[in-house]
Amino acid sequence: MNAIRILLVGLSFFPLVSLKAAEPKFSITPLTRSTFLVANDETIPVQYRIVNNTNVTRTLTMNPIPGITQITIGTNICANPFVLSPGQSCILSLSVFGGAIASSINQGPQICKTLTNTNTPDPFLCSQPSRLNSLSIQRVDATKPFLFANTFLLTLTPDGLSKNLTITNGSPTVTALNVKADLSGTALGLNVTQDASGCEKIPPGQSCNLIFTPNSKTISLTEFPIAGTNTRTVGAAIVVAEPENSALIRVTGTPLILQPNQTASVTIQNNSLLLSATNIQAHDLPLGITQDASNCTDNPIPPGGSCELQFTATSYGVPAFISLIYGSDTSLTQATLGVDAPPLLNIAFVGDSSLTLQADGTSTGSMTIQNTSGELLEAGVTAHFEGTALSGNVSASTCGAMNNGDTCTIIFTAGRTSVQTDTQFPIYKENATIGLIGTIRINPSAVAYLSNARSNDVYQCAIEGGTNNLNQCQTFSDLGLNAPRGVAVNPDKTRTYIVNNGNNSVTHCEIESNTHYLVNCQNANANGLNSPVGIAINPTGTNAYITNTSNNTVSRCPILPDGGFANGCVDSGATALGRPQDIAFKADNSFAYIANYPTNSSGGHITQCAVDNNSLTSCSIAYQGSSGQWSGLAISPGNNKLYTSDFNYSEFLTCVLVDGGGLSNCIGKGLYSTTYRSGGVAVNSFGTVSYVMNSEASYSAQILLNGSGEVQSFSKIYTTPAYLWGIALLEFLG
Amino acid sequence: MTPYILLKENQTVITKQKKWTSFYLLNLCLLSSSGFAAAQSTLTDKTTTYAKLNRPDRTVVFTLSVGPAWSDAQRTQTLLLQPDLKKTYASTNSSSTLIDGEIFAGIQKILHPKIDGQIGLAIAGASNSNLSGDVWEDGNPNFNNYVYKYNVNHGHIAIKGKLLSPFHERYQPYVSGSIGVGFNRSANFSLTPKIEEEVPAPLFQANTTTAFTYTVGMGVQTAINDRWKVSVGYEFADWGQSHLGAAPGQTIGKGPSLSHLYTNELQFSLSYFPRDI
Repeated sequence: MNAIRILLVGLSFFPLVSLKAAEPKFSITPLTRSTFLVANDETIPVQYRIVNNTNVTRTLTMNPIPGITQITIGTNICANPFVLSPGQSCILSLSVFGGAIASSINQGPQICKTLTNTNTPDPFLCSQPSRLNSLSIQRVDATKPFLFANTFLLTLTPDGLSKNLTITNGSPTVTALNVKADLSGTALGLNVTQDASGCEKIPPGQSCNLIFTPNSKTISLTEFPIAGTNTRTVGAAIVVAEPENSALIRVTGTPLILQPNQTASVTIQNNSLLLSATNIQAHDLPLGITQDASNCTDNPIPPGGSCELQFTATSYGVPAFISLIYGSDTSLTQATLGVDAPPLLNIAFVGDSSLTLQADGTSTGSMTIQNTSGELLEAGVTAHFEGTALSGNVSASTCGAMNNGDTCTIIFTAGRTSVQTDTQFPIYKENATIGLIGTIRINPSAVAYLSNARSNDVYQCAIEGGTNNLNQCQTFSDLGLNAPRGVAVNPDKTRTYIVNNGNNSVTHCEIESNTHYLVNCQNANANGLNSPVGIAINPTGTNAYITNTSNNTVSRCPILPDGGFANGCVDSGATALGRPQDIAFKADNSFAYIANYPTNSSGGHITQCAVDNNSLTSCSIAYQGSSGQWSGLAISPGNNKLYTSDFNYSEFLTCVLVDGGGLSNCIGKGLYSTTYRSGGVAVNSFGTVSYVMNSEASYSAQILLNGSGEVQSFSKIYTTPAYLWGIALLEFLG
Repeated sequence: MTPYILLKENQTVITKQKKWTSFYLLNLCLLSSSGFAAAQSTLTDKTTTYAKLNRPDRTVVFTLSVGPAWSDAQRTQTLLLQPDLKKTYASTNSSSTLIDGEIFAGIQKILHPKIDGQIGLAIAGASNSNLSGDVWEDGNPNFNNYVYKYNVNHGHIAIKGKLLSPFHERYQPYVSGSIGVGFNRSANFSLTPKIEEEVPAPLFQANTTTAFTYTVGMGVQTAINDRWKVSVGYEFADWGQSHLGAAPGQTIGKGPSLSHLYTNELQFSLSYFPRDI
């Protein structure tokens, strides 16, 4: 029973024990050469890196070696003793003085933990370098001459010319005797002939040549020692190889057929005897396989060396293909790569791959996709907007399964935020199809054209669907404007007119149909204007009406098909004016209303004129304010209201347009700090929001109107352009 | 059922009528203490006729036993050698083959018509039992950096008893047992680094431990002639505890220890019966 129990215990221990590997407690790795000769009048520095591999913080010290002293000054240099926490390292800096060491040192340095609170090494816990890395020091007589070679590597060509290695005797006093290379035991010994006859005696400070002659055999780099009978040794190496133009590289590990998402490598071997290979990479990789060539590109691969090109597969298949592999100075080789999984299928657009939508929350458009893969494509092809400006601002439908040749129409629905640049996005089914690139632009559902009388600029700003704020403003400069004031858009939404108060003219611009930018601006040939301010285009689009503040008239300018006023302008016939400012027409073209800036302190009035054959007749004062200096004026077709704003007191006046003429129920509302020095007034078609421009500051007023067109709330909106006077809305109502 | 033996020519019949109760009980105690249940019976005054196979009523006996033995000592132990230094000694190979020998001197007595008993003094010794394993520095198996080896040898002096059943003309089965004082010497500790980078620590010193020891055995004996008999059997022994001495510089405790070291021996014995008494 005992024997069985012990046997069972023994078996249970076996795998536990066999899994454990030996590891030095303290790694001791040389940072300098550790094998050398030291003359007895010479001091040579040696450094080792010490790493505490254990899980215990230890106070460590070096087991003393006579003739070797520890240097403790410097960055990251080990103290004496030194404390290393787990994983920590320091540099053990030693100084070997040839005059004090034993005739040879063939081990160490040993690093031990210290006995508690002492610097005495504790033999119970010590590590040392590997035998190869241990100190191997021979003390030599200082009078032995040092030898120097003019090069370390001598490159010979098979059956080529002899080459010399020049050896110099470094001693100032001693003649070096019988200096020659020891090629015995190497391939050089049998295949390279040495002529050392010139080096039998090398006087102090003099040189001689060892002459090497190769035979036909190719030999890789082989090191050998050179010494005389009374000298120290110097090392050199010879390689015998054909001249190479480029490093010959070979690849192993191909074909490499990856599993989905797997990463694996091929090994590149530099078979060159002479040349390093740099910047080795696989070229023309297909979609689905990515490469990490850093192992082959970070450093040149030396002759005989190797590196690994690492390839990572995505989740879909890639048929086996041949990729060329080469570096900037290498031969050409190739590897077969592939991914063992179903491949990506092809899809294609049928028809247009770009769309323009409007940010009104309902605008839709479509693109049609065809399955051209030759195989069944499962459901799931859709547009992916992640990472693009379209993300969150447009939605797309998803295709169902498609047989080969089937088409699918993806429906795009815009939100309420505009994206006013052509924005690309991919269409694909994850891990199943090659992606297509579509383009969508979302124009705002409305834009406002604004004028700045100070800078002579005009702006186009998007009216965002959700907030009705004025955003994404474009500036149009150098249009030849001069103190622009009133702005109007014709009923066809094709032209914008801008009144130049400074030079009694009108500029008209085309509205670019896609971007709604102002283009092809020119003078409209208005005449007879006198400090004009306001402008309106009548609902039929045939005439422009411009208020002249200096002579209390309204000019009527017939509009030609090209938008200009070819026949000049005439007096519209309007009367009952007092420094008329803004003007607007009822939607049915029955009446025009003109805001008047008071000529005295008694307050301004609103003039109503009947429209008769494009003339303004029967003008009268429809509303007389007590203090208002009315500036902007707008009429809401949606709720039959007239809105005007006071220049001095920021009063916002709402009047009901009485059918058959007249204003009633005019109610003033102080906008307080939301605007100042009111300019133009605009109201949207739905009668839900109005704007009052501020000609003296960088903010204006946005006024929300209730279902009856009455002021519900108002707020300050900041616009990037400032000092605005004119405003005209261009709305797209689907 | 009454056992009997067929008589051969020149064999005589003796009458057995005495009690050897104390002798029998001592043997019984030895054997039962070793885990063997002795046949439960009571000696009574009755007269039974048996074959006499040179079965003197009382005789001196000397036995020399020798044979191969196999030891087992499996133990992993972590020792605190200094206040800030511990090492684990993980046994990996605890089984070894050794030679065991014993000299026994005693007397043999007829205890019962079916049972002869022997009691006497046994002096035994064994060659080295080899132990080896891994040393884990800091008790951490990631630093499994050395192989340790040492050996334990053993001697003991014990009171030994044996019960033989002479019911067969030619072969007599027996059971035996002993208890005594053992002397376990742990010595020749060595450390061999598994990698060049590791430096062996100071070695644990040899140490002799005095321990309680016992054996139990069973086998079969046959007679060469009236004076000489040979037997072959199995004997299990527990050498008891042993440990190595502390290493030079060790400030806490002692070396690796064993609380038991078991051997299983194939035992060949030669017994000599010089005279009856």
